[in-house]
Amino acid sequence: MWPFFLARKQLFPPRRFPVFAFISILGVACGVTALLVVQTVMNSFGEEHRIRIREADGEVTLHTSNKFIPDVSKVEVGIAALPGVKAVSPYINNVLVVIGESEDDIRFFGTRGIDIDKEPTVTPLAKYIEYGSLNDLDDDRIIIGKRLAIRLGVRIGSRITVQSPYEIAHSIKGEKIKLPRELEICGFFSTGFADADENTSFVTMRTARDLFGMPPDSASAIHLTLRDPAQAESFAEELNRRLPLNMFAEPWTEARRAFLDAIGMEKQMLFLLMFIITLVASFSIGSTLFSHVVRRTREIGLISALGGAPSKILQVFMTQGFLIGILGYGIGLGLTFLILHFRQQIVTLMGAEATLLKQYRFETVPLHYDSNDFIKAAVLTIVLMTLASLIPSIWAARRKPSEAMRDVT
Amino acid sequence: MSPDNSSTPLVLQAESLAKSFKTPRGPLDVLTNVTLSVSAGECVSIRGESGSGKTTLLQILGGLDRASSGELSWNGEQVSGRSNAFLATRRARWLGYVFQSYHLVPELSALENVILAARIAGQSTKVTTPKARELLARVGLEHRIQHLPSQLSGGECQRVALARALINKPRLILADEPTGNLDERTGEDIMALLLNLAKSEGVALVLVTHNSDFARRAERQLFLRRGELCSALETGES
Ligand SMILES: Nc1ncnc2c1ncn2[C@@H]1O[C@H](COP(=O)(O)OP(=O)(O)OP(=O)(O)O)[C@@H](O)[C@H]1O
Ligand SMILES: [Mg+2]
Repeated sequence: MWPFFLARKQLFPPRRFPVFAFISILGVACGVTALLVVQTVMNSFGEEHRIRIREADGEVTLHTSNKFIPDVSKVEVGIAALPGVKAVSPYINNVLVVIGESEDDIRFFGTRGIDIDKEPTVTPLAKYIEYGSLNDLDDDRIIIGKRLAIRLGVRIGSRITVQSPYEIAHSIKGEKIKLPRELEICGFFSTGFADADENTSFVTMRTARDLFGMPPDSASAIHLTLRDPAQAESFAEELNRRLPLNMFAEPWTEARRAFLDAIGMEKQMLFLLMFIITLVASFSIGSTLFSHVVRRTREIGLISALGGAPSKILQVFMTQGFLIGILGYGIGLGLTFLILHFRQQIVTLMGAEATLLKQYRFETVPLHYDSNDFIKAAVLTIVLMTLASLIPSIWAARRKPSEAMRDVT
Repeated sequence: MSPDNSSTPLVLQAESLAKSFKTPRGPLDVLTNVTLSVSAGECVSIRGESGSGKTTLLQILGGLDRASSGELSWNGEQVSGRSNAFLATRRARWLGYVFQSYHLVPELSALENVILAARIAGQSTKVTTPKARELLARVGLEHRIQHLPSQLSGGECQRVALARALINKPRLILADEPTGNLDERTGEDIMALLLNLAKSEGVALVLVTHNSDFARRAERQLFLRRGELCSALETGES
């Protein structure tokens, strides 16, 4: 393949520093690096968020439109027997009220009744508990979010008096009500999501049933994990076909659709932005390429005279664009890995560590590669560079050899 | 007319070629009626004033440009009116070119420049390399085959160009003032080399030159005047 041979020689002339190749390839490499670093960082943040959502919610949740699911242990066994299910755990979701010293000092927060044995198989709760442990939880104790503790002004060992809105509703109707319950705080957790840390607490299933007037062996929902988390949506869909009308399964992606869409949108917008930047860069490389081709007008004439067909002349110059694309992408890939390898140091140097912790609750910069980003960038740069070389190449190939040979530039 | 069934095949046949260029001041008729036949192994010289259209004629004969009218055949094969790609493949096999200003590819060594021509004609590097070395040795450059054109003198560059013109064993070489950029002695060397090589390889040669001494060494001497080719006798020159 002589067009390739000639293209290589023209791009990397012997015994001379390849200025043109150097500048073009470096330009492409910079563009690729910018594109890939931005996409990977976006992807990492998104993926980290997704992992945390999955960890907090489980992968599929079974809700009911009734007040509770009765005979939950039977339902559980049925679910656990379905193919693909890894672990199942029931829970109770509701709101608690803490009445403070003065009558108008009322605070609401969410509480979740959990099965201490089963819950850790679905959500890695223990990972987020900062003080105390899940094992300390019993029917008279409560684990609360770290920020909620600050809000309530309590510490480990403090006792709080809680009531369910259910009891309050009864009292409004003038019915006889149960006394508020006193719970001892036995642990703090911190997920990094301010919302969760400020508004959530954990009690045992039995305590929750008692507080919310639910019968034994009932729960408000069941969540589960799958052997293959990617199957969450299809699993939920399949399950919904079999469930009675008053129950429905929701995959985690559906439950947090808005948030996930926002992350996805952000990534797409940044891709668009970077694409435009890459496009602008490829125009400038295109013009460099053009002058590179024009300077070789006499050689184009010569190749014609030697019997090089126009299609081969096209190949000579398009190959150069293609090589610039490939090499630029390769070097860009290397630079991307290098930058991402030192991401922690770079963030520290930028002094952005605090923001990262505060806004994103990430102790370290997460890193999750998405091969799609890399394939997209590869196709994009190589196609763009080849196209950028297409115009000057067509120009060269259509050049009349007689005039090309007379060219004096 | 096929090249096989003729006893003295015509390498080149041009019939009433005309060429006019469009210029802002109307058409410029450079060639009006050129008829030329070159048989195998024959050497023809063409002289003419500057601007008379010698380069234009060679370009048309070599298929680098198209005549406004007239017929052109290579080896008995009609080529006027064929596609550029077709002309290119035929050119690679039948024709060798030598130019006044060498036209070597600056990024390629002497050897690679010669090999390039063979590769364009569809031959493999392996087969061609020994041939290219041998030809470079015959033009006296065996020790400089790895040098770039920028490291060679004008005469040496033209030697490389001669080797390149011969690598594909063409039937015809078109030489456009091959000594025009060289001093007298070097020009003499190159011309002797060109004529000898053409003779020994049995290649026909169309030689455009200003130098009457060189022109007279050709078997047939022609002049380009007012757009037509005429023989030396008709013009009174010798
Ligand atoms: N593309 C073109 N457009 C217009 N005129 C042209 C073009 N190419 C050549 N000419 C004209 O055609 C005429 C013949 O040019 P050509 O180069 O063939 O002359 P030549 O005989 O080779 O001259 P020289 O001996 O100086 O090399 C010149 O007058 C030139 O200006
Ligand atoms: Mg000329």
